[in-house]
Amino acid sequence: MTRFAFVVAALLAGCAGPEEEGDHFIPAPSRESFPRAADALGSHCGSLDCHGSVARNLRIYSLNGLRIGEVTGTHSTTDEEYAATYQSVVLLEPEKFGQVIVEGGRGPERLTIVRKGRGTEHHKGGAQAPAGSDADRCFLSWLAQAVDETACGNAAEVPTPEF
Amino acid sequence: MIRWYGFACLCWLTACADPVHDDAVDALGPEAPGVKPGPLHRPGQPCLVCHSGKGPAALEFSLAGTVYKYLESGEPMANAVVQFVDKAGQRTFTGTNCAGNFFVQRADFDPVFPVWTRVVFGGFPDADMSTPIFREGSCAHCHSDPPGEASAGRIYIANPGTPVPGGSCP
Repeated sequence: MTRFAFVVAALLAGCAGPEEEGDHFIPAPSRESFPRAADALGSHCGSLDCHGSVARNLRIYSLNGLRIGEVTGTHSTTDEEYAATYQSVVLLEPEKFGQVIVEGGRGPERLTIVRKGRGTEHHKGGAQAPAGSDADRCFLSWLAQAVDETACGNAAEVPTPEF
Repeated sequence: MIRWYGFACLCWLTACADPVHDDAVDALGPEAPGVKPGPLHRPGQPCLVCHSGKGPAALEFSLAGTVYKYLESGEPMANAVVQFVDKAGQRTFTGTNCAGNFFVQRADFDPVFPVWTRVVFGGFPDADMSTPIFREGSCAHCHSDPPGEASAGRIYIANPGTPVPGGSCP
């Protein structure tokens, strides 16, 4: 009987998940500073045929594509949409992301979002933020928690060529 | 010998099958009654599902879609001009037919994405896309009806109440 109880206890213990530790903290730049970086992401990556799609692991909600709720068309990106994109970016690779942030934004190429944006890793959308471009510098400055306003402003504007 | 040949054929056919593509084609449903396959068929549907080179259509498009008079109605916009310019600076244009449909054959224009697009119709303001196309050649992929979280709605030329000349197909 004792042996039976031991086996049951062992089975139960084997099935148990990790102990509940409450909320997990992921180091991340401030949510308040994110819209500048998000606008650049939206312009270069957020169209409906790219990351403005719920089919992507990285979802970008913006006036350039995917919307939340009753908002449609090209109305300004809402705070709820910025928050959803922020969550998507931070939680894409939370452990690596946290490491990069803790180290002051150094080694950003550890993040898939940076490598794919630069085109150094296969990316169906190509290099939308090549190393050193405004879009790249904008995102890296947000990671380093020192937003480059000029780079972000330039990256958010995608000029239309002459028809 | 015949058995081996049959087995080899089966393997070859299985290797070529693309169930995702097949499902996408099936989801389009049958042709509308009285409309034969051709330039006037299936307005508002994502053209490149069948016209991307994977079949079943033989003609391959790089860009194709449908223009309507208004966002809210299904009235086709005939005789509009649709202009494209790509990242490499290549330009082309095409016109809409009486079903509102337009298409660009890949043999004529194989764009380097992103592609910027404008719809022009005399007497009306040019309708520029607010964002470029980054990869999707089927306009209806992003411009399905009704507009919503994941759709910009129909491509249209005029606001409600504005008279627009031109009828539909005979």
